[in-house]
Amino acid sequence: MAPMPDPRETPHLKLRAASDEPSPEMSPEASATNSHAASKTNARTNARTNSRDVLEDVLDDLEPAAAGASTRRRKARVGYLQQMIGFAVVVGLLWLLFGQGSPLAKQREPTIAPVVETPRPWVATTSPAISDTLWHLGLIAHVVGRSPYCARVPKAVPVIGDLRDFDAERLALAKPDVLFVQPPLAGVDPALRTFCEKNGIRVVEQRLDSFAETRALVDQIARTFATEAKSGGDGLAGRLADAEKLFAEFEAATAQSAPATDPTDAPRNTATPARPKVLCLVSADPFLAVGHDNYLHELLTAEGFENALDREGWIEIAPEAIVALNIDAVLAIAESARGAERMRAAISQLPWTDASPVSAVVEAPQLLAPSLMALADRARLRASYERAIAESKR
Amino acid sequence: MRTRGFLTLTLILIVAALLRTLIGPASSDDGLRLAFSIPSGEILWLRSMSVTSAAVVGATLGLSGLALQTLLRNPLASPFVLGISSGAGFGVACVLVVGYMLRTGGGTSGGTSGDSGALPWATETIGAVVGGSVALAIVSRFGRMGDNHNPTTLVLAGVILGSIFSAGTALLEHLVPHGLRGDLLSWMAGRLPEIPNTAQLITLACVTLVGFVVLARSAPALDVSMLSDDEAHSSGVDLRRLRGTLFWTGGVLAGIAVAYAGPISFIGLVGPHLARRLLGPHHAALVPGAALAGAVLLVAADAVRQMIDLGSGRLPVGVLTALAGGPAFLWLLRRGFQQGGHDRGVVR
Repeated sequence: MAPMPDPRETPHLKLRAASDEPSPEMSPEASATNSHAASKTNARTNARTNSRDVLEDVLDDLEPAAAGASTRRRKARVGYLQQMIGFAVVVGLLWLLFGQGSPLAKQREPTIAPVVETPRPWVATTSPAISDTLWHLGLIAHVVGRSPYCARVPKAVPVIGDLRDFDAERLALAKPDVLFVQPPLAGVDPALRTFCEKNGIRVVEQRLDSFAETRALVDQIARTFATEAKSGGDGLAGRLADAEKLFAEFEAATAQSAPATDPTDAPRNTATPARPKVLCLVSADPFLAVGHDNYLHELLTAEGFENALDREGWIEIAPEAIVALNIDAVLAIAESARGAERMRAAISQLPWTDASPVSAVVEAPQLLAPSLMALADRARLRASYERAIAESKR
Repeated sequence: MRTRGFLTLTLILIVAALLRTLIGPASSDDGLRLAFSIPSGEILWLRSMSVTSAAVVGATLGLSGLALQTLLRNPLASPFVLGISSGAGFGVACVLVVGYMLRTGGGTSGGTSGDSGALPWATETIGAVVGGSVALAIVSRFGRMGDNHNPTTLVLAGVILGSIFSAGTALLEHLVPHGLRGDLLSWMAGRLPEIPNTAQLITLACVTLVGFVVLARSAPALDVSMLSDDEAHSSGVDLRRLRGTLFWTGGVLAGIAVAYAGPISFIGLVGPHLARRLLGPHHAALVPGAALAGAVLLVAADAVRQMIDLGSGRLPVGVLTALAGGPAFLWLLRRGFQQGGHDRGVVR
């Protein structure tokens, strides 16, 4: 560590320091040795009266100190050189391991895809829900830029960052015609908006908190791909019609599943309740449950479930609170098979007091984003519940 | 030594800036590839803005670190270690949450589709400066308790205060709707905008320049302030006023840098040490040196992160500086203990 400034090196103190302290030009180590020599000299002065003897003693003491300082300086230079070499080695290793253009990197698959053969219009997106919807509509080939979380877009498509830290350079090079964004609550970065305007990129903003907003997104996509939809070349018109059908069915199902009686009066833990009261979990460590006012709540309602949580948003919930809810079933949505296993284990360890409710864990990452895919797959929630009921009866 | 040191730093800065400007993705027959080329037009502008942002933020953090190390007479002091970055982060989080509540008419748990208008950057800056200054005031108060400016107490107080402010930020994350949570999290990772808000960048540069001038004018007094209080008083330095200057300069510089780029760690710690190593302990050289060293470190980090592609886009610059700066901090600690441990509140 570089030493903090030595007080004795300040100019106005030099005179005072010169009288009883070591030379200010010396290094701290030399100063310490010199100080030691000075104290030894003072002791000898008291014992001897001959001033020549004293002077000789001082010179004798200073010589090895000066020699030591020179050696230390030399060592410091060698140490500095070693550090620089070490730094260069670390940088070289990093380049070999991760740097593009390095011999090792060439053996990996390229992470950036050719975009020249991508059909027009070119689109980029920073939202997994939007890329899932594009995938469902068969438009994934048009995607020239993605976020790191867009799982359905080929890995070879360049990552243009996300909304909060976008990579302007890659976005400029990807040259999308349209950038689909799911704006955060704090709003889209004005710099991104200005940049896109300047580069002729149309920004389509669509919040996705409900399926009504997903429908609005599909309308935006249909407008963007209007020419393709009219020509019917790649079947987009048909897929858009299918999407419209999905929305219509969803709305009809939601309207039908309105509670017939006061939910608090409904009997619980009966064998097959007509409108089961469920807790929907999206994480088991900690338990994160689905509240009201989001797309998963809408899915639960459409599938004929009653959400046990009457709070808004995504709620972290304690195991005792889950038990106290007196629910008919726990529905858990996992992103992977491993996640599903963990969820099953965590749910089985909950301290149920009475008969434990039915537990259904479904591995369906597509249900974790408000996309057309979630809408198309919503029946899996009911199916997994029915299966769990059947298993519990056995 | 000074001339050689300045030349070394300037040379490294030029090399790092050139690397950042000349190496990057480029269009080819195979698509986009990392290439060494002279960019043109828009890309050149983006890269030069990135270099400018990194240089200005790095210089700000370097100066802030130097002011804090001198104020607290502690070479381990830096905006990050003393919890100032966390305090500033908490300030920005408060501003984001309050701004969101005002737009949606109150309530933090609901609000799924609030107004999309972004907050004025000045509010975030004020939040960061206030949060950072509060953190610095608390840490400084604790550092003076008992033993005068005990370095261990200071660092411990900073670490604990940083944890408290981080917990406060986590609490706000917990309270806000899902959409705002991601904003807070990604902001905390630190970022260097290639398309900066020009007014914000100019403000940052102007504040940094003012901080630089204030510190440079105080350089002789800063040298004296490293002595004991009695010695400094006897040499005619108004320590109380000087410490007030250092306090506000360090706090404001750290806060405004955090507001612009998020909490980028370790530049404020390592920058002044690099300058001290190359330029010696005199503040007349250290003040420009710390600014230059901070700029060098951040521009170099920005250049390096362009070359690392793990398939998920660029690394956030805050992650890279923490990965490199953490070991550097431990090395400084080890070296400090090896060279004599604590001596009058100074780890040598």
